[in-house]
Amino acid sequence: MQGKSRPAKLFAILTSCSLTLGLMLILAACGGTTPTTTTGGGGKSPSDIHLGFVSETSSLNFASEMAAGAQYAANEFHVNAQIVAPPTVNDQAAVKLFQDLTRTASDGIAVETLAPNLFVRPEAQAVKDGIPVIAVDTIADPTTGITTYVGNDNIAAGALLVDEAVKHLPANASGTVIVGIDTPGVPVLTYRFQGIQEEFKRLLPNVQVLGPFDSKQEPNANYIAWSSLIKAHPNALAYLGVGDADNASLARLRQAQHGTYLTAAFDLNATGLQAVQDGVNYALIDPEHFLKGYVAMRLLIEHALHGTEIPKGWWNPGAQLVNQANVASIIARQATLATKGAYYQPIIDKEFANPTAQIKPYDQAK
Amino acid sequence: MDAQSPDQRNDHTSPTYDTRQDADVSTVVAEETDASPQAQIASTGHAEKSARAFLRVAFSQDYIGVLLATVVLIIGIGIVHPRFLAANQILDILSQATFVTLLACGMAFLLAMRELDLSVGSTYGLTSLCAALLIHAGLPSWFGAITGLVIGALLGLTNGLLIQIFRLPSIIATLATLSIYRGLIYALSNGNQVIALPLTDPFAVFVGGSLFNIPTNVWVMIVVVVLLTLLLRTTPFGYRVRSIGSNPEAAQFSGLPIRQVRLLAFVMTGTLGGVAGMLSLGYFGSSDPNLGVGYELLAIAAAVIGGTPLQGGKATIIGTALGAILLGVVTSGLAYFNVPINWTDFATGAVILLAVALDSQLRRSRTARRSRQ
Repeated sequence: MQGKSRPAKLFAILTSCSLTLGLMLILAACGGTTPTTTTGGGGKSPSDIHLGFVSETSSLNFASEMAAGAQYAANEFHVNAQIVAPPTVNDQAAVKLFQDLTRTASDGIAVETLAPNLFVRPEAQAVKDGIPVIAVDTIADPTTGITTYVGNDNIAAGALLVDEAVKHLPANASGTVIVGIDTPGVPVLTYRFQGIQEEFKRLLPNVQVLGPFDSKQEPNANYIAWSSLIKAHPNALAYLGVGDADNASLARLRQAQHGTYLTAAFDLNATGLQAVQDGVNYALIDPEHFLKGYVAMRLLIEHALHGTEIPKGWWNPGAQLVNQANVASIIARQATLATKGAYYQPIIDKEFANPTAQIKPYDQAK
Repeated sequence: MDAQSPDQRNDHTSPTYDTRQDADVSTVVAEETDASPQAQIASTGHAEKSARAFLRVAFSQDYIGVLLATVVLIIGIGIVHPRFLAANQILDILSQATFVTLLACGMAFLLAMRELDLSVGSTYGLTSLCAALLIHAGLPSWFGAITGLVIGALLGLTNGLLIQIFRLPSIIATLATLSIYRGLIYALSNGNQVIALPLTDPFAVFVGGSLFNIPTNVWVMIVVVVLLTLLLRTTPFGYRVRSIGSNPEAAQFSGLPIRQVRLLAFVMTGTLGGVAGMLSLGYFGSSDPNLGVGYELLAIAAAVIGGTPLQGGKATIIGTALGAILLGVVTSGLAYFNVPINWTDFATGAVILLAVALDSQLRRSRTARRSRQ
């Protein structure tokens, strides 16, 4: 470049800058269509509808069940749905996926996250841009402008696990019950613990609930945590987990120790269902994740297809107790997306026959 | 031999040191037969001397700090909660530390060569999943387990080859394979658990069983630690591993087969990941896609806490196992203290820091004593 004169260099720089600017302007003109046309919704053909569902991770049962429900709804109505999730629990990555969806899923997005605070700004922006957004499983911050939440009554779900435990305990039982949370800091899990605590206090006042203890999410770490908790509190009446990972560890420990205590947890992973079927864990709670994913996606679909107003408030699809009486049918249900759909169809039909009956005020969600 | 000198400086079980200890001991043994009062006084003096010699040998070990920290921690927790000292609690801690120990032992070899394998957690998970899928598909469980070990070795070989062929730093190559192997786990499992075998299967019975009331896991850990210690201390391979880490340029100059040694070390690390995966599969009877997430850091921590320095040149396998056990003691011990859930990680970190500080203090005082001598 030694031979190049100064004006020639300047010309080259200016040309490069102009080309770059020109390209940027062209790209902005092509892709800068902010999705502002969906506020009212309705009137679109299914193939023109683009929806999104972002969930916490693709590798944990609770999240993949919700994604399956959303996918089932999209398949049922033949709309385009992008179901996305980071492979491991990674909230920053989930936020990025949500932001990407706001550009491609302009007809509505359902968000399932364990860290709703991280989504406040992008969700508020999406709502401002006219994209319908529904919170699933955890309540969105009120400042986001999101007015619809599909989630369980987690206090009631915790109580449901206790109601079943009480059937296996003497009427005047006294002692301790140990409760573990595999992901500390997640409000829905804390509510489940609260439900367990309150229900024991109500039904068996001489039983003291200890915890919540950190039972860890990685399978081996979860096993070690529970093993240590059982050693530290060897005379407890029951060991209860409120998360996905707890099922397998509690079952394996009870088998290994030939424990006479009760064990149970939440969610529908394969080992958890097997443990209930084998009579090792006395029950598990299915927080109807599939139904939550389905409901959120269907509300968005009906809004985009027919302009049906998305109901404001908290839609609670309930929670189901899985014990030896019904575990075989639940295992059969979990086989494929089609079997899940077939099982849930009567429930779906019933709930969507009168959607307003399902709705409670947003601020009552727990 | 330039490569040898620093290596010998670092290795405290070097022949020179051992000869001195042997001389002390043989003198004591020779004079013990004399029964006169003078001889008895002399004998007592020699007994003291030999005890001191024993202590000197014991305290010169790289892992003495972590051993003391672990013992202090166990006794400390045991004083407050005597149940913590029960044999089954200690055996549980040892059994549960096996997985991290196996990964960390491979890591110790790599650290001694100034290399690192960030994919050990993913290798652990992927071998477990592959074997689970094979057994689930109908293959005999033992065959599935052996295949899992072979897959572990192949994953290690892949790491080694990537580093050789593309001339990548091991931290970068294995950072990529950490993600690739984990991605394979999610893709193959579709994010779901795989139930492989009932706990009545012979393989599950073997892994979940015990010999002389000691769980199989613990036996495996003991065997692996003994074999790898011998490998590191007494074989040309171990000598080469330490020499390469001690001074890579000198090792190359002196004609050591650096590439082959590195490749073998990665294959060994992958195989150990496979062993951990098979033990996990045999014990739980199933494989979970999140198995081993974050274990690479635990493995590095266990090796370093145990006395294997990050700057290479030496390693201690016994120390590495003790490092993993220390981490296990902290986790299990905290369960006895009803630590509020949001303070658990803080408390874990604080206890590890205290234990490592004690270890560091012991090391410094030992170094100071040596320099005075």
